[in-house]
Formats: sequence, C-alpha cells, structure tokens
Amino acid sequence: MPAAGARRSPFLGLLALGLLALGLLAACQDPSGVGLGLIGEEGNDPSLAIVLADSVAVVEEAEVTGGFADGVLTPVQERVLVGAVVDPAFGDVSAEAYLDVRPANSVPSGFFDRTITSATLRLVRDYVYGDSTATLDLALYEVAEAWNPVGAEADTAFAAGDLLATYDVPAADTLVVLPLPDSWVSANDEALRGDSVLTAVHGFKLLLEEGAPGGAVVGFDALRSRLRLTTSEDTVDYLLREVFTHVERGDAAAPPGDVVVMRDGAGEALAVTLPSEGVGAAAVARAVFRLDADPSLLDGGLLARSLPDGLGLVGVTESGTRLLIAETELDEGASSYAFTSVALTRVIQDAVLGEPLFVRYLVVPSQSPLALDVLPVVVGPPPGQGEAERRPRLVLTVVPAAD
Amino acid sequence: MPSLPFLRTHLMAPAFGSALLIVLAASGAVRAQSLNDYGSIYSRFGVGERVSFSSSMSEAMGGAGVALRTPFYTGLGNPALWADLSYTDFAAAAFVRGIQTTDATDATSRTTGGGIGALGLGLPLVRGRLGLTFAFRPYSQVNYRATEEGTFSPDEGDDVAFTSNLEGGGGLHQLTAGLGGRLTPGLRLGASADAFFGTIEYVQRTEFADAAYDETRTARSTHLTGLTGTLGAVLTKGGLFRDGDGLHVGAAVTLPVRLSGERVQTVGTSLDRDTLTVAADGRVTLPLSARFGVAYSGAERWTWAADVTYEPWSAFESDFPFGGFDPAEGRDDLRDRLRAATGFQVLPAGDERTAGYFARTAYRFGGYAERALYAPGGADVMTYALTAGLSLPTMFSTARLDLGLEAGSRGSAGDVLVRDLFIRGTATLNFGERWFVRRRLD
Repeated sequence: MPAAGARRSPFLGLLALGLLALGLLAACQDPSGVGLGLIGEEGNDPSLAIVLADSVAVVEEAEVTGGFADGVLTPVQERVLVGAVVDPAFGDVSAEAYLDVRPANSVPSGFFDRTITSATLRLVRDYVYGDSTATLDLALYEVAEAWNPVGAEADTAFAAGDLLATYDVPAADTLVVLPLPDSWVSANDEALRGDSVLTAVHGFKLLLEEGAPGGAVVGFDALRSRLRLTTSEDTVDYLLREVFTHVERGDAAAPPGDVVVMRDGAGEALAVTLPSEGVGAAAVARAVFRLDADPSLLDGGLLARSLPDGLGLVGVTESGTRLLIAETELDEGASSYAFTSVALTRVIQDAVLGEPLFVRYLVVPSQSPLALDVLPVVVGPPPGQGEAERRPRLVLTVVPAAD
Repeated sequence: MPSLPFLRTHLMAPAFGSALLIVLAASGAVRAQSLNDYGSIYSRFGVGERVSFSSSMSEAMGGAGVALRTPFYTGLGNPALWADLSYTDFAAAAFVRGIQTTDATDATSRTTGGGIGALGLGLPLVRGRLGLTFAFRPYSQVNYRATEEGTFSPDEGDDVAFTSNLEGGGGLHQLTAGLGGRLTPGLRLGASADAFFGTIEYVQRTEFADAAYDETRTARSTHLTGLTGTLGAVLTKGGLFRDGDGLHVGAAVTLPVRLSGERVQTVGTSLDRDTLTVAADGRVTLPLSARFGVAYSGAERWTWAADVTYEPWSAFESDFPFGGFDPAEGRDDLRDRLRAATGFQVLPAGDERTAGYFARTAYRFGGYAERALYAPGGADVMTYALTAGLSLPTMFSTARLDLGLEAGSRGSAGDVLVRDLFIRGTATLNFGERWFVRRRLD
C-alpha cells in the first residue's frame, strides 16, 4: 500500500545520505606510483632546450619619454633628465626636462585665500650619467603653451617661454632646490591658487645653459619632486604632473665584434629573431629569454655608465603590431637579464607548434624611469660557427610529447 | 500520463521524495567526479575496462542476465528478453566507486569516481510478445591515473620538483536499438543494431612545485566509431517442478565490430591545449561477445540465474597502439575474456500488492569471477566480486528504485601487477508505464 511505503521512507533517506557521503568521498584522490609498471615507459620527464637567437641587431625604435608623474594618469614617467655628456665611446648626449605641476591632494584650510610669497622647485636626484663630480649650469624657462606628454618621443620639443633663472647645480646633490623668481610668483599667484591652475600654468623647461660645459646628465625622481609654495601661514607642495625629456644622442664608436650595443635615449632597440624549428613536439612549461651583458665595456673612469635597470621584451607581428610580452630587471651579479612570463610561455608554445604569433622580438629599455644606460649585449658567433653559449637565447623547459 | 492531482499528491510522498533525493545525490556525485574520475590502473589496457550491464536486477545478481526474463526490466544483455516487455520502461542508472590499489611493495593508492551507468527505454509494441528497446550504455571505461615524482635541473638555480600524472580517460559507448519477439510460447528471439563510439585519451599532465612553471599536458586521443549487431534467443520450459515456475536458457552474441578511428595528438599548458598532429586514420576491430545463461524462476517469489560470457580479445586488431597492444612493437598483452556470474533474487511478497513494504522489496545477491581481457607479462588478472542489491517499491506500482552494491578484488600484487580492492554503489530508477492503451469508454 502506498501508505506503508510512505511510513518507511526514512530508510531511503538514509540511503540517500550514504550516497551523498560516497559522493563526497569521491572528491578525495590519493594517486601514487602504484601501477606505473603496467603503464610502461610512457611518461617523458621535463628537460631543457636551448634555442639560440638566429639574428641579433640594433634597430631604430621610437622612444617615448613623456608621461605623467602624479600616480593617476598613464602612461607613467617617473624621471626627467637634464644635462649633457661628451662620450666618445657611446655617443654624446644631451637632455632637456619639461615638467608641469598640479595642486596637492589636500591643502591647509584657507591656503587658497592667502597670497603666495615664494615658490621653489625641489627636485630629488636619483640618477647620474657621466661625471658625478661635475657642476651643471642650468637654465629654467617657462613653457610657453599647453603641451601633452602622451606619446611624446625623445626628439620632440615644446616651445619655451621666458628665461626665469639660472642655477649652478652639483651633479652629486641629491636634492636640488631651484627658487623661482619673485616676478614669476606674483605673476602666477592667482593662477596657482585658482581652479585654472592646470590650464593657466604650463610648467617649466630645465636645460643646460647654452655653451655650458656639461659633464653629466642628472635624473630627477618625478614622483618625489615638488613645487613648494609658501604663504604667510602655510607651506604646500604641488606635485609634478606632466613630464617629458627631450634627448639627443650622437653616434657611438663601433663595439667589439662579439657585442652589439643598445643605448637608452637613442631610440634604439635590440631586434631578435628566433629559429622556427629545433624543439620538436613538446609542451612548454616555462620559457626564459636570456641576455648576457659585458659590463667591462662600460668602464669609463670618471664617466659613470651603467647597465639598464629594466628591459622590456616586445613581440612584433607580421603586420607590425607590437605587444609587450615580458619585463625584467638586471641581475647585477651575473650582468644578465632573464625575461619570463606566462605570456612568453604561451607565445613560445605557439611557435613550437608551428604557429608563431610574432615574426621578431624587440628588447627595449624600460620606458620608465627614463635613463641613458648602455647595454652591450654579448652575441658571440652566429649559431653553428663557434662557441655561442652566451648568445641571446631561449631557455625552454619542455615536456616532449609521447610518440 | 499521471494526472496533475496525482502528481501533486504523490510527489510529496516521503518515499518518492527520498527516491528523488537518492537519484539527485547520485547524479551530484557524478557531477563531482566529472573532473576527478579515476578508476583502475588496469583500464589502461586495450580499449579500457569492459563494462557488462544488462539491468539493475542483473547487476545485483552478479551480472547474470542473459536468460533473466522479467516484464519490468529491459535486459540489455539479450535482445530476446525484450519480447517480455509489458510496460514502457525507462531506466537511468548512476554509480560511484572507490578503489584501493596495492602493488608488490605494499604501496597503496586510492581513487574514486562515478558516472552514468546506462539509460534505457523499452516499448512493448505488443504487450508480452513484441518489444522495442533503445539503450545507451558504456562499453568500456578508461579512467586510470598514476603519478611519478622527480626533479630536474634548470640552467640556473636549484633543482625543481615535478610530478608526472599519467592519466587515461574516456572509453567506448554503445547505442542500441532493437526488437525482441515471442515466436512460440517457449521461444523468444531478438536482434539489435549497436553503434559504438567514443574517445580514448592518454594524457601526461606534468605539475611543478615551482609556480614559475606552468602545468603541461601532452595527450593522444583516439576517436572511434563503428556499427555491429546483436542476436539473441531465450528458450523457456514452464511448470518444471511446480505451477508457475520456469526454466529459461538464453544465448546472445554481439558480432565483431570494425571501428573507424582517428588519432589526434595535442600539447599545451593547463587546460589550454592545441592540436599538434592529426594522425592518419586507422581501424580497430573489437572481438565478438558471446553470452550464455540459464535462469530459474520459482513463481514470483524467487529467481536464480547464471551466465557465462566469452570475448576473444586475442583477436583484437588495431592500427593504433593502445595500452598493452602495440602492433608496431609486436606487443600484445590482450587475451580472451571469460566471465562467469550467478545470483538470485528473493521477493517475499511475490505479486501481492497489499503486502508490507519490506515484503514488497526485492533482495538480490550474487557474485562473479572474471578473467580479464589483458594479461600483463602473461599473467592472468582475475576478478572476484560479490554483489547485493535492493529493489525498493515506490508510490508507483510500476516504478522501482534499485540500489546495488558490489565489492571485490581484481588482480594480485606481484611483479608489475597490482591488486585492486573495489567497492561500487549504484542507484537505478526504473519507471514503467502503460502506453498505447486503447480507451474503453468515451
């Protein structure tokens, strides 16, 4: 009878709970090597595969040096450069800095109602290229009109206005204080305190005085540098916002035969092509692109040069589209760079499968912070023509596919 | 179809609610296993571990079902049995299992899994005389996993530990459509068309202890399809010892099937795999399956059955290498499969519908012994198992919820062989209904 079945149905409920418990147990797996002998030698262990670059050459590549330093807008540019260096080995270089400001995130109550009595650019130096004992004769100009740092390449120049002041700046100083003339302060007092500060004040251009000897290019940390404004009661620091550096770099001397030199600030990149074959059918667990530098070539006595702190690896498609694949920092102990990322592994996996996304790769200096470093890359002889173990190379961890 | 008030009343009944809960629980377990479904390492061999399923009744009786005549179950082991269909019968089964594997060094591993057992639909075209059946069921399952630990030395830094997971997945499915008819009161014949299809995949999944390395997968997948047929017969002699009893002798044979196949090799990281190569097409020939059975039913209260199954896997042919079979290297670990099963059922209430619930519950017990279709290193792999089950009445007189349990051992731990201790639970919902009944009153 139906009623009888209904009365005894809790029994079924217990069975259901039992099945649920079995289902939960089913989530537990404890596999091991038990039974491997039955499977045979099917498994392949991971192994290393070294793929030497087919070709390595320095090519021209537009270098964007403009950006924003307020931590809000992008692209970010953390440094501006100013000065000049005569460098027979890697080319003479000069740099001019442009910087604009924005109000602080918070100001004391009543600040905007009080007259600004002084203004001072406080620039925090974090980089020197050249003679760190040199003293730079710098000139500060107003920028004449609105300018946009987005996409601004190193050879761009913006119109300068009136000369505001000149300064003698030791390259070794870590904090450079540049007082602005009273005339500029009074002329811009209301603008600096008004809503139109972003559009009415176009910022400054800082460069080596014409005819000054130079000797060094110094870099200022744009994130920590400030325009300090003082009233009768308050001191307020405005932040740097738009920043840009105009860079000119001359020709370098020919490097040794087993080295190619890529110079930051010169619109240069290292173009690399990789062979399409050589790994075979395999799954790529990790791809590392390695570059070795020869730091001995940077030794210049008082002329301080350094390897780039950071580099980017960019893939270039057949249509010319560029995609950043990985970034890396200098391994100072080994004077080498190792690019690795999930994207690089996937890209190389596709290439191993015969479907390369990119036709070549570019090693480029990190866009930010801007620097004038030099990268002498060891290339050695071409593959098959001698010892080439330090040539730019892919180091792949692969698991070969079973036959 | 049941009327709305009927459903409203009875769907809320505790018994039916529990039955639904059980099926949902089983299906939940199945879903939980879809990404984690592992079974015996022996499923590596051939096209996988053979699955023998006739009905949930047969399954709880050791798998004996070739001569098991019943109007309530669609016995898939023999198309001649479909002549007895009295109701439109729908059956859906799900299972979960656990296996503990031990090797010669006493090392053990545990795996669990689950899946859909079978789906069947039986239609009595002429009640008790001619039945039409459609069924979908697994023919073989590949679901092994073994791991191997190791380290390798990168070009810089410390050694990196890795784990190679050697996994097999997939299997063959069988889609059946056929007729069973009564020729004379004592003779029933049946035939079906059986389509085989499925994918067998061998995967090496390599994991690294260092997160800087991606998990990699290399896989070989073999897609197979083919068509064959099954013939069956059942002879019945009634009133042998008492009124209402019956002795049944049945036999069925599924003809060899030649499958068309394609092997695809893929490599890649994580779940993202790309096709590496598509191998040339090939052929695979599965051997025939011959089944013979006897059954004796003592009126409605008890039933006994016994079967023998023979499959000459030594005749297996393939252009592709499979586990234990590689024609290019001359390796052939396959041999003829033999399976003997027996079991009995007690239904205390017989056909008394007014009896108590436990009296209307059917109790089933059985066991089987099987010589596997593989013999690694020439050593036979024997399986011995006991089965048991309950067939629980529901609020619908023609619907039953069958629960089954199977426990046994497979193989022996020695040399490269391992011993599996396994337990398997099943839940099958059999739902019967009268279709095509002419209305007597307007």
